[in-house]
Amino acid sequence: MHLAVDISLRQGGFTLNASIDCWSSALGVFGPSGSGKSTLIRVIAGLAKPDSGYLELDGDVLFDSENRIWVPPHLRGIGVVFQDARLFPHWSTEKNLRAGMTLETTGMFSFEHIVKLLELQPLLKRSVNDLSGGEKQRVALGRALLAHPRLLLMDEPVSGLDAKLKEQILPFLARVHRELHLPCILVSHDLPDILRLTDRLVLVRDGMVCGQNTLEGLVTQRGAFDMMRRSGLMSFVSLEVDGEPVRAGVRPDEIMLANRPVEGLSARYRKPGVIVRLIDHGPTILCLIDTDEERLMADITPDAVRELGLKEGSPVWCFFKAGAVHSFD
Amino acid sequence: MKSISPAEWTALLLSAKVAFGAVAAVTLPGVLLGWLLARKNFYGKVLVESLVYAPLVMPPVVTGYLLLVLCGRNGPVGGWLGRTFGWQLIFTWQGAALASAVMALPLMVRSVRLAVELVDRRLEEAASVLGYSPWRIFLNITLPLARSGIFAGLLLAFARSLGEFGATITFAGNIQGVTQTLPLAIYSALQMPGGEAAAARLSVLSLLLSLMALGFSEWLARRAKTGRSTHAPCR
Repeated sequence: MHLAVDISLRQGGFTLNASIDCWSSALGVFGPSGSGKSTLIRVIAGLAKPDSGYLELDGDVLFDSENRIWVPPHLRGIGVVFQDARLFPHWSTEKNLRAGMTLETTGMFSFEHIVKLLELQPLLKRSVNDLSGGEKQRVALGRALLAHPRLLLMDEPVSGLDAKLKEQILPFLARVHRELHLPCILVSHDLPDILRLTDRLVLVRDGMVCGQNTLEGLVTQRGAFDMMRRSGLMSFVSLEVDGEPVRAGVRPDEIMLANRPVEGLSARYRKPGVIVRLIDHGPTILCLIDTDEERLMADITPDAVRELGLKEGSPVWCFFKAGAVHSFD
Repeated sequence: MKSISPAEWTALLLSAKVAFGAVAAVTLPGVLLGWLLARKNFYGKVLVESLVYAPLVMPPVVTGYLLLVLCGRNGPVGGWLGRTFGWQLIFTWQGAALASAVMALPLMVRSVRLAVELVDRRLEEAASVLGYSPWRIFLNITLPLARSGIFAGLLLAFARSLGEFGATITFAGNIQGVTQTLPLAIYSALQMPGGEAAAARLSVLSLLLSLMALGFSEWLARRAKTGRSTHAPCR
């Protein structure tokens, strides 16, 4: 997917100035509430018209204020999953799912495929008004997919849901992207939610895009790093817990480093790795560590770096306390 | 009390015919105008609004008079209809239906407008990103979700037509068997010496017709409510 955005939109007292150029197939838009993330999504979908600028998706110009080009939302082929599922209350679940299906757009995936992927079979005959929040969101996701969009936008698809329901949706989002090869943009104020789908990020604050890069590129930038650390920056680690493989998230300050496999520590899990980068962020230093399976981020003090003699290329052992491991899947 | 005379039957049937004719005439413009006023901002909106709602606040006789000027034999609309199609509205039951429709339109528009305003615009947005054109959104999302308001508007229009007097008598006249609806027949009966009994009978008929309309609308409303989850309107 190639998305090029350079737009300006004034809405009441709020101004959005966004400039994005992205070639990735999955993109996370991250920023605090009220930063303009949703407005950005509405602009891309065609639900809001910018005052000026330019918008292009895979070579199609969707908006160009200079040449007076404006493609209305129903002709853009961009699907949206909203925070509030927005199912049509006068239709059954099945009819909602089929709402965007047309004869021309069969292909990539069938109705049966989506029903199976999102585990919707038991819901088909039920009224959408009787579905739970998580079920509604799954139906909304299926409905958007069955319209066969070329790009799927997801605007805070799990923010209204509690932690348990979130776990019903997030794995599906990753699955959709992985199995259907559909370009996705996920908008969230919750960084870990985004990181589970993609590490390619756009940071939005006060109506401005204040950073766009991979997670690794962004952690080297002081402002972006601070913003992300406040919002739950974490790296993902594969561990074996009670003989079972588990994928888990750990925050940078929850990883301890040692230069040898220390015995008799209370931290239950450990992994060897190699330091690939040390990034000085004032009081602490952010350590990027490559293990066999993943790249980890750990906070460490300058004193410890000196005492342990750590430098780029040094082998280290990473220790995780059991309580710090936030397991997923 | 004497039984209902053939002339009274005629008035009853004519009333029903005029009311149904008025409802038929008012449906499409009422729905479109209600939607337009609820959803769109355009140049001259206040003027359209004022014209639609005017019969609600003007004396009905004035509305009838304006219709006479516009649609009479020598009026711009009436003259054109006569020359082109050989149609005549004045002194016909179609004319009575038109007068009733004009009087009923503001009630219909108001009801539709309120119902459309209550339809969640976010659902219309959701439909547009599923590939629905504005016209498909209107037919498949907005109208079905506003349908109880549309039914209510149609009923109001029907009831208003049954009771219409001033505009009808001014524009279509009071011709027995042609334009003399129940209210006009009651008025005529009361003008005649000894017509009180006939007036009473006609009033009872009028009341029955109104109650039937009310019952029908209740039935429709109940069906719309219970059918909400299982019954899906066709696409």
